[in-house]
Amino acid sequence: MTDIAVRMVRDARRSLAWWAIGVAALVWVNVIFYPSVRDSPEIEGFVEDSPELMRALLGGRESLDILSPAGYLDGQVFALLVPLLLLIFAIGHGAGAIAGEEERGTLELLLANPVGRRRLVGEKLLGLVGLVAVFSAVTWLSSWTSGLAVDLGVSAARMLAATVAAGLLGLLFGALALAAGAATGRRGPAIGVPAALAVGAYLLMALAPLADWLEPWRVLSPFYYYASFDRLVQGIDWGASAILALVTLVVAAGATVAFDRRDLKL
Amino acid sequence: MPAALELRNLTKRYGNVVGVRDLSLDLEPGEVLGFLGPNGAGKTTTIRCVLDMIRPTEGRIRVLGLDARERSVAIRRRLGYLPGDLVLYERLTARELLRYFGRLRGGVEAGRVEALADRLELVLDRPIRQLSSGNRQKVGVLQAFMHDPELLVLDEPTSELDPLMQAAVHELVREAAGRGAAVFFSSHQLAEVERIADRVAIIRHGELVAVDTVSALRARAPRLVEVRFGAPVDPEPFRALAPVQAVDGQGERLRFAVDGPVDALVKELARHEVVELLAREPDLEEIFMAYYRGEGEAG
Repeated sequence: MTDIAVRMVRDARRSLAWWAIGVAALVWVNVIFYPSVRDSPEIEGFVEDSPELMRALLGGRESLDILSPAGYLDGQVFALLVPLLLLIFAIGHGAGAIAGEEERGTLELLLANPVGRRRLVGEKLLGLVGLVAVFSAVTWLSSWTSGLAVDLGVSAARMLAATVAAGLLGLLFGALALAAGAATGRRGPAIGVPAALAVGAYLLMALAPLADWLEPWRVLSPFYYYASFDRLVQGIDWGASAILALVTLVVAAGATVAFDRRDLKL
Repeated sequence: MPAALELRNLTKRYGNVVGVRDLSLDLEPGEVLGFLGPNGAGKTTTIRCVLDMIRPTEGRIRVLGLDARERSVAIRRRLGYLPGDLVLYERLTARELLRYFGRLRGGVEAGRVEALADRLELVLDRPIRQLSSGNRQKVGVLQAFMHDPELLVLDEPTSELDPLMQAAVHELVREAAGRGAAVFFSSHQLAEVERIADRVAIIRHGELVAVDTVSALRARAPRLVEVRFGAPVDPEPFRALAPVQAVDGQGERLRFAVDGPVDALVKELARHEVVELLAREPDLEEIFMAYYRGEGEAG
């Protein structure tokens, strides 16, 4: 019962290869400069002088020493770069999973086979999990190897904790794309809805520390449960991981219900 | 044995637009039913309701004795479907696509795909994006037949094929019917339907206007009488005759559609010099056109 998921991953192998090269290169380029940045005297002053808002938007915290190994790795790689790439990747493939096949027209022949609509959503979600897992594995491998190259001093386990959190975050937004596509059958909303939600959620998380009235609402942002700097310092957070995974499952359940009820747009 | 297909008062509306209205139809095992109508008449809408891709607004569909909505997966296991707008996975080869679908079906009899590919003269190992439309259509035909389904739903199966391959597909249809499969065969080509269908259902503007065997439709349809006179003749007196439904032509040549005894027409003709007289049954096309002009409901 995994043929469709396997097919989805295999069909994405070319896209996956390019993404892997891209993310590995970006991680390496960022990490490899750690020694020269650490040793340059102007940086610290620059961070101290930069406005609070800008630091907030770039994922920094007031107390965060961006020149510590974990702080640097977070600021350069995990705070913004990795989730951004993962979200684009996961939303793209989530939107393609059902809405893409429906717009192209291949869905009609696929569903001529004895495959129920719920099974289709389930297998597409499974395929998405596989794709995000490969992407995350590449991210982790390139962080770990580039970290070794410059003697960064963040353990592989801590990097894995941050990568798993990023993967769960990407998966959630990929599942939203899958669900929006399953509900509408169109790629436009399948990409637009989760992308808009992601921007909103990021802003909510980033700006909450600056406005008292926003502060209590940040628990609604998936980025709140991502907290990559904490992962790099403390390791995995099972509670936050469970929340992200649970919301993903709820979104997928919504996708099956919506998909099961409607007419296909053929 | 339950009917292979049972449509009861099927209605499908899209907002205010009616795709299919109050359509009832049965198809028995071993039977080939030609589903005839021009594009946009509601053939594909009907078929997609059978496959549970779209849901009827009203009415009931049972396929192989099972409810089309509730038991759709079980139905599709025993059904072969060729869509009218066939879209394949471009990057796969035909063999990869058929293997994928074979796995989704829990396996296909060994050698079956190759045997069918031989008969249809299809090369299996080329990427689908490189195939001609005819060869793509063969891939579609193959995936519909490869698991020897009990019901075949074929939407314009031969539209892209040359006459030789059309004949090969007709042979597959006859073989399937021979071993007891039911075939629902939609087409807008009358000659084709006439060749392979046991019965014909004609659909117009979403409504079924006739369902019968080709010979019964023909027997029921008006006779055509073509006459060449020695001199130009006024057609008006003929129009007044009760069994004469239509008169066309002018001058020395007139054509009459006659429903019922031809006696009155013959007596009227006898008042003129008749050079040539030809009476024949209409072919399916003429019957079809008659239904499409809205003249066939009474007949």
